[in-house]
Amino acid sequence: MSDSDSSRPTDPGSPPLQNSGLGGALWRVWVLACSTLTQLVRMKVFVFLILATLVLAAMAFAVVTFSPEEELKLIRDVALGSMHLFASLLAIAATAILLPRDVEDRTLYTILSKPVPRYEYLIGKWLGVVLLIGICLLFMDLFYSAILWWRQESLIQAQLAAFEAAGQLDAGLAEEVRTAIASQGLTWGFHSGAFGILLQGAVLTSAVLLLSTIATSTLFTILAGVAVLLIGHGQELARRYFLEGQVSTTMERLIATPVAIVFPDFSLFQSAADAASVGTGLPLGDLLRLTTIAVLYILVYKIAASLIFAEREL
Amino acid sequence: MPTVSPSSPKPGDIDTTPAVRVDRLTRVFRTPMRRQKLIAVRELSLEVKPGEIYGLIGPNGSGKSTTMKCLLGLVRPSAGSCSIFGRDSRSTASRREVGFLPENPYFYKHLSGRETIRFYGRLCGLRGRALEERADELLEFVGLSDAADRRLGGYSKGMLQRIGLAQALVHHPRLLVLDEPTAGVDPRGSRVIRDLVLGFKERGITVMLCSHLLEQVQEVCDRVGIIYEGRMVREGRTEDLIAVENQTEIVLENADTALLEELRRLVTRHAADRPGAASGAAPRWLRDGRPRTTLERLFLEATGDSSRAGAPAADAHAGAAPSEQAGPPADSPPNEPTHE
Amino acid sequence: MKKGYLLAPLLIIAFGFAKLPLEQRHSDSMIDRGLRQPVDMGLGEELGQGALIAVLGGYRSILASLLYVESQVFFERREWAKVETTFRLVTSLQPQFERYWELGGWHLAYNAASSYRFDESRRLAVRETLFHEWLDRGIAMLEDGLRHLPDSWRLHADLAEIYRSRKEDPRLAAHHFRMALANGARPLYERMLAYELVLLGDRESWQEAYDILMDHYRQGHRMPSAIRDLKILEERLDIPLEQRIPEEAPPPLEPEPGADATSGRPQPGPAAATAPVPA
Repeated sequence: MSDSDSSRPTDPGSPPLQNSGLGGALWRVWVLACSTLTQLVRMKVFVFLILATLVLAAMAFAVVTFSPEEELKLIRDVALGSMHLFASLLAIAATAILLPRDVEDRTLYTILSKPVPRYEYLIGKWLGVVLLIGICLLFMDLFYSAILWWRQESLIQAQLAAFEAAGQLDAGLAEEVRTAIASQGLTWGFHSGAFGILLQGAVLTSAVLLLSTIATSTLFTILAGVAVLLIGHGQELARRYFLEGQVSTTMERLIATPVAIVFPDFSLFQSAADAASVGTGLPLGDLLRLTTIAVLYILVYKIAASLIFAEREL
Repeated sequence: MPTVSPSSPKPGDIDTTPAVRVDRLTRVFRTPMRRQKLIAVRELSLEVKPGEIYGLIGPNGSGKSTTMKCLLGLVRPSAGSCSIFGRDSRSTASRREVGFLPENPYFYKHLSGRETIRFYGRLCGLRGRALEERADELLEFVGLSDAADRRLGGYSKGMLQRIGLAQALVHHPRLLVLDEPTAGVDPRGSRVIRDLVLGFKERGITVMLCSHLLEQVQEVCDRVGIIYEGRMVREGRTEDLIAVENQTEIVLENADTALLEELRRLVTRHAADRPGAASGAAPRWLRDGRPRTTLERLFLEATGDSSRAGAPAADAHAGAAPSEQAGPPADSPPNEPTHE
Repeated sequence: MKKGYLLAPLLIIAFGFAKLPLEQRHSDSMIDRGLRQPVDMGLGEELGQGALIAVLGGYRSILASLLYVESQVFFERREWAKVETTFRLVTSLQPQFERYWELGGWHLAYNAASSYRFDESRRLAVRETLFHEWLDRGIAMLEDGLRHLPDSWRLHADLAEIYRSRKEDPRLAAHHFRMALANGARPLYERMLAYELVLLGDRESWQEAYDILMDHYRQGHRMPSAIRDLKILEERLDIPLEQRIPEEAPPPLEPEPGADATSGRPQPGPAAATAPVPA
């Protein structure tokens, strides 16, 4: 315990705090995001991710397939399916746990009693979860890209060897084989699929965060989050009923209208992964438009969450 | 002189702005079905001057915590207002000058002590070397340097309370709000925290604390407010509130029976000589006997903190010299021996 | 009522109305460019629950992959009804993957149909009826595929091949070969079209077939069947002697590598697989 003047914690020579303006706000959001990320990482999320990825990848190889095209498609599907699973799981579970835990543990008191506006806290939490989803997806993208590349190259070599053994190989055929298999292997479309899943995860995270500002229990938030994800995938159906006037009964209208208006269309983001699954991919322009739609959703959900959270009794 | 901050008065100015001002604060809670109203705080007013230690005491559910939450902007007042150094509590800016230690604080268990202070420091805009130095300084100040890199999951309650104090101090606040700072802490840890609080006063930091450990409040607070059912029922200087005006206490060392007999005779004679003896205004010998020690003192003796335990209990009550009380004692161990 | 609790839902509803056209436009644009499948209101009937498909969300493709693998088990056991059901399910889950339509059509029109045709436990009349029935099921599968993927040359080529070799209907075969060519099929299919045109009775078709085959002949594609048909057409069209190809045709200038190769499935398979393997 030091008691000398020079080490007193509150001496007048303390540096003024650089804590105002946009820079200060961004800094605080970043600090909260990093803290959230650290919290989730120390909950051993990555260990689970690595183990689950290895198990799922092993499953993809355990299934017997009949042609190179089928094998590569199965790997792509397992990859995109597990990416979607992880992104959704993290977006729902992690987000649903974070806010109630901070409230229950009163950690929130110590954070909000610092000069931190409540909306910055919400954005920080959201960013932390989205960063985690991004890192997980990046890891899985790299892992499965390596597998796809390896399988694609070995399948090409095997086919070329077979043609050569049959005495049919020439430059044109070799190129045709290479193009045919490579188009089903590692392509740009695969990464665009992963990006679509990231967008979906980011929108879902903001929706679940909004839910957790009104919810009183973690279980409710998780269940409601799952419902948002599921209904969001069927939103297009409701939207088309609503916009194209195909509903006939009042009951149908009562169901279709709120679903179309309140829920985000997750199938729109899913189209990037669906395109990747069949071996194509979305053009950059479409990805940009999807990003714009995702940003709009996130902004609106964030503002709504902030409006509610600003008045919530802690 | 406290922390330099944009709102601080220029050197030389006399700052007359109250550190805390609660003005006719009312807070009504409604039950979920909105059938019933619960008035947690009604028309409560109080002021804490800069540099004071103010104690808000009252039974459980009397509205202490709600008042503090309103002051920190965690709860909105239904009517009335709160301000910190002149800034309305609802504004984020009001929290630049206040450090808060909630009752039974739980910080992120996955962080170490040092990381916790860094986290709160960063939230307040500190970074780089200034932050590192501040973290080291505070860890040393609260006596947790040796446990700095352990995760909070393994901290005892007293250690958590001290790390809580450190985070409350990280941004050089001029006001500290402490909600039951010694709740659940053993007497030794509690004493360390009490000493820290007295140290803040010496450094010009205003402290507002809530407690129902009345003895402790009495020890450290300059002024006390008693709150009951949401209303302020008594308020004033601690000395004034607790003094029994017409009695005097003398404590003697090594006094034998003869000396005591003589003193008693002296008092009786003096009383008989006084003209107003019949009306009861004359001096009267009420009692004598051995002063009792306190359980706290016995505990401290038994657990080896002899330097503190050796001091007469009465000294502590009289609020011994601040220089001795500034911060935890030099020989107090950085870690508490008792873990939960 | 707290202000925020009122404003937040209002904001979401207002945005909900504003975003609908945005989502719709983007979705339609992707559907128009074949990047996305239109929502099929009757989708998922095979699952018994229409909404289930939507609920599956991000797992439709992997479920399709796994069901496809399962279909191979039914194929090996010759449980054709289950093969058809599974492929209907698989194609419902992922209609934009043309390979599933191709494989489904091939299983029904070739494997199932032939299996019934050569099932000696049944009477001949029954066998022939079942053969045609399953042939039609294969055709229906491919035609459904074309409704989802109208630009697929491979589905047209598969249909053409069924009409050519199984149904022996040169008119429909020629139509689908022509559609395949219009959607980017390789030159081989132009000759396939010509062979079917030769079988038709009108002079116009013969002339078109002659032009195609001569064009290929000049490029060096001198397959025996092409030369045989050219000789026939020279007679039918009264081509002057000096313009006719020589009696003893020279050997082909270059072979057509892997042109008819398929991807390691029992023959005959869907035309021109993506990844050819040695025959």
